[in-house]
Amino acid sequence: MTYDYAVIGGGIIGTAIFNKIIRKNKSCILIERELDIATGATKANSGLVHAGFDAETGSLKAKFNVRGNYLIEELAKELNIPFKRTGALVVGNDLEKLNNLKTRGENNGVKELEIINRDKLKELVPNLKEDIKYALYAKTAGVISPYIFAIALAEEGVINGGDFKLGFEITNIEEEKNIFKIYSKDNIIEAKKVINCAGAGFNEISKFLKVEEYPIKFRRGEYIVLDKSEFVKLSIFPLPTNLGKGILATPTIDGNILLGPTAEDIEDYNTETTTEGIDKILGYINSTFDNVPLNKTIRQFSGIRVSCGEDFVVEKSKKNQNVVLVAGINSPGLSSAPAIAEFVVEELFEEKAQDKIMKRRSPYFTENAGKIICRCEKIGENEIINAINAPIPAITVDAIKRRVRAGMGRCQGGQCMLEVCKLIARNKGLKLEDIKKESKNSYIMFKGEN
Amino acid sequence: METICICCPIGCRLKVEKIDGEIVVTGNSCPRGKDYGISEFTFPKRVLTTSLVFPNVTYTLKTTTALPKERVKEALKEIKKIGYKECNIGDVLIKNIINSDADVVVTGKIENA
Amino acid sequence: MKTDVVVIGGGPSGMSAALKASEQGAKVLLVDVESRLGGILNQCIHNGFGLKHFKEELTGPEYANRLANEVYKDKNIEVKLNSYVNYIDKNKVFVLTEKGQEIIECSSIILSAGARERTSGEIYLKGKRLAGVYTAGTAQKMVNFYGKLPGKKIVILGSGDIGLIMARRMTLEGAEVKLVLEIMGHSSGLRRNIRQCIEDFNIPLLFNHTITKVVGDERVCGVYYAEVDENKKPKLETEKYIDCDCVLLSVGLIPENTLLPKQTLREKFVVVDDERQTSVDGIFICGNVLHIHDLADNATEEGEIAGKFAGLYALNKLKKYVKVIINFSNKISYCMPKLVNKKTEGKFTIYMRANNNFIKKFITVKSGDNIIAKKFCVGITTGEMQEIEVEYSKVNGDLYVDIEG
Repeated sequence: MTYDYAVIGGGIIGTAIFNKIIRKNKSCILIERELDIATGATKANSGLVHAGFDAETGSLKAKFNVRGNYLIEELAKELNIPFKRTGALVVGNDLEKLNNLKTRGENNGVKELEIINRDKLKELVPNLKEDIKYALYAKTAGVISPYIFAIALAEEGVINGGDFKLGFEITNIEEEKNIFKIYSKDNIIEAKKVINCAGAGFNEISKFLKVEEYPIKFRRGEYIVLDKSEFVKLSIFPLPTNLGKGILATPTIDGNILLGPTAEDIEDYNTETTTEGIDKILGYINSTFDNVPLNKTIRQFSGIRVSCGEDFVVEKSKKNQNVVLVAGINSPGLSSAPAIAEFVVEELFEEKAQDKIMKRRSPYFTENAGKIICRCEKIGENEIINAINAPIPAITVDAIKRRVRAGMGRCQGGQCMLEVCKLIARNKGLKLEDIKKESKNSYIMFKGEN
Repeated sequence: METICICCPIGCRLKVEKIDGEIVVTGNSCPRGKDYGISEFTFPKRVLTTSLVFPNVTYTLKTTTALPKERVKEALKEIKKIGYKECNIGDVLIKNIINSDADVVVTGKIENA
Repeated sequence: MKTDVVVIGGGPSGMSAALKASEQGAKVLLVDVESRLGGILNQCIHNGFGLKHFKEELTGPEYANRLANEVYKDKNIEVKLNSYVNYIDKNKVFVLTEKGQEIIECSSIILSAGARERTSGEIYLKGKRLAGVYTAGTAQKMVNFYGKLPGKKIVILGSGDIGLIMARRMTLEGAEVKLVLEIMGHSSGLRRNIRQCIEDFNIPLLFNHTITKVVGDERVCGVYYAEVDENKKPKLETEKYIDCDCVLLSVGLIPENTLLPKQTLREKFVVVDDERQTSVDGIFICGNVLHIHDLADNATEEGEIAGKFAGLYALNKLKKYVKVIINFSNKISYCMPKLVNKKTEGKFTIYMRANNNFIKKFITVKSGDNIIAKKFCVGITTGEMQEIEVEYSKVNGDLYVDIEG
């Protein structure tokens, strides 16, 4: 069949656009190179829904962030995923800069912004160092799981008639009579319109589409993850610099604490953690907070933010009216995703129909969890099986981890990883040694000589 | 020769010497250590443990006594040739493996591991 | 459901505790999350267990089976498998089974839930998050239960016993153990395991070294490693690279004691008395969930202590005494227990780990100025737990343990 739309890239932007297109009753396929949704920048960021005071007034970032922040609440309810308006603080002693941020926020349309003093600050963040006196308090900021958000958007799209292809590595794209033929090694997908939101792979796809390429740059951000704790109950930022919003301490929607990110411009896409990066986080956090529960450190990771200039690129290609380009989506990309999707579908592609009523997705978690497999997070066998058999099946260890948190706890899968491998193998008719961690050659076990 | 006794977790530091044609062990704190010292000096031996994995059951195995150290890998190869059979803990799977005086016995049975 | 004692965790200490509690006349429920008793012993298929407790050299599964057979024979003990204890509340244990949550009322609780392995995240291992980096225990299960190798060219970080045992297992099963790196200047494993697992196979073991970065694309393809300085920081000028497809971590065990109520007194370890009772009345603790034992035999011994007194507690037969504190010198990293009931008859044992290696020294226990116990040790190492017996009747006020001479 020829789809009305093909969305290339299964990150938060791709899944949001995919979901929105399905709502307009158009046929659509979501194409992802990896074996799961949300394996790029979407899985490795702070999980924050920003209020919207950071971006310059009038920018796409400001517009989409504020609108996205508003849309997310309703969307999360509908998708049956947790979202919480925890609030955010930008802390510092430079009142003028804080006031400037507040003014900018108000100009961007952000509501409920307030400058608070030491007393209120101490009440909100008891662990903040005494010498930090003021903060901009943004009550509308919140936290969400970025990968659960993307997976849920994609799943709901699939339940309501959308198609998807995982592990689909595009080798070429041809256009004939206004129909795009998207090739992989052994498959062809046909679609009338294409959205390139391939993140780090944007230019590769643009080349195939013979449309605009952008000077894409990578900026790496390292994080430290702490086990569940009440160390901070809302997101704490320093005053922003030209490298970004700075190192923050934030709860995640699941109750963990994230410390980070650093901001380092790098040449090649490389998600390693470094001594310098981790030391930088520890240095900053220890100078800003007391009682940092570093004995609860369970993991470090790094994510890559892609940028092409100051602002987002969300536009129709000037070379091909049937292609929309979404590039350089760094922070506040997660917060902006629903608004970007709305803009792409309703404005750029002019799909003005009312959203159709969507069938609801069912959660993985259940009363009848079965035998507990992940002891740290208390995840049962039936919940893991639900994820394996979900509309977008989880067939890797990390895919299970993202959906149900098996392996997310303090033992980091030491006790349950093999059980998870067994469950995937049994339910998918695979051999144990075929099970992968994440990407297509990331075999957990030794698989024989190559 | 100086070595560490492996008979028990104490790990005594043994000194084994040939004095007037006789092997003398010092540093041991029990008779097992003396025997080990002499054996290590003349003819080192090791117990072999391994497991055999079948579709619905895994057997863990050991040799009943120590094997000549340099033939341990050879014995392991023999064990890996064994096809599935129903057994219980304590059953002998191979008698006198590699013509030694050691048998291979089942030490554990893990069903649907 | 109602019982006298609930034992949480059916490894060597839990099974021994259940047996001893039953011996006092208590009704016991032994709960384990796995589908079989034995705990981690089942995957420790090597020999060297049981010399102290069974006076016979056994493999892990054999040791587990001996205890399990006794447990199943005991009419006072009910075993509940595939059951996860969700939380405990003074006299209630909330258990999740395949059928849902079940509440068990009891008079005393013994926590014997074991330990977990320290992870790459806890040691801030640098590099990418790749397939092929596992704890040694995970690899042990992979090989011994499923017959799969975690890799073919292996670097082991840490020289704990599991790591050493795995070096031998991997080598015998056809993998090449290229290097074992230990950040300390000495091994934390038993000497005999260095001998029979490392030296037997000529595996290079580098002390004062650690991994500086794990590299690869999807699976591990190598590590950078370097010597460390006195602050355990890598000396970058000594950094080298080695090819490997797997990194195994044997960097310590951590008691899995999150089930204990919040108010339980904790210092470096959970504070217990010589009866292994915690600061919460009626909650006892033993085995690796209390502190890390070198030997299953020692965990059994501790299980028997906890079991006996938890049984007596449940039957209202446990007497109350004044407690004294065990203090220790800076040559000792910790003593177990922390508190001692001032009884008049019998003996108790103080277990301790030294901070450093010592040759030909005495372990002494003082009560005031009097030495009330003294023991000569040929060699004391940080890797090996020491023990010394003390007579209750000689205890007169707080105790002080030292290494002297």
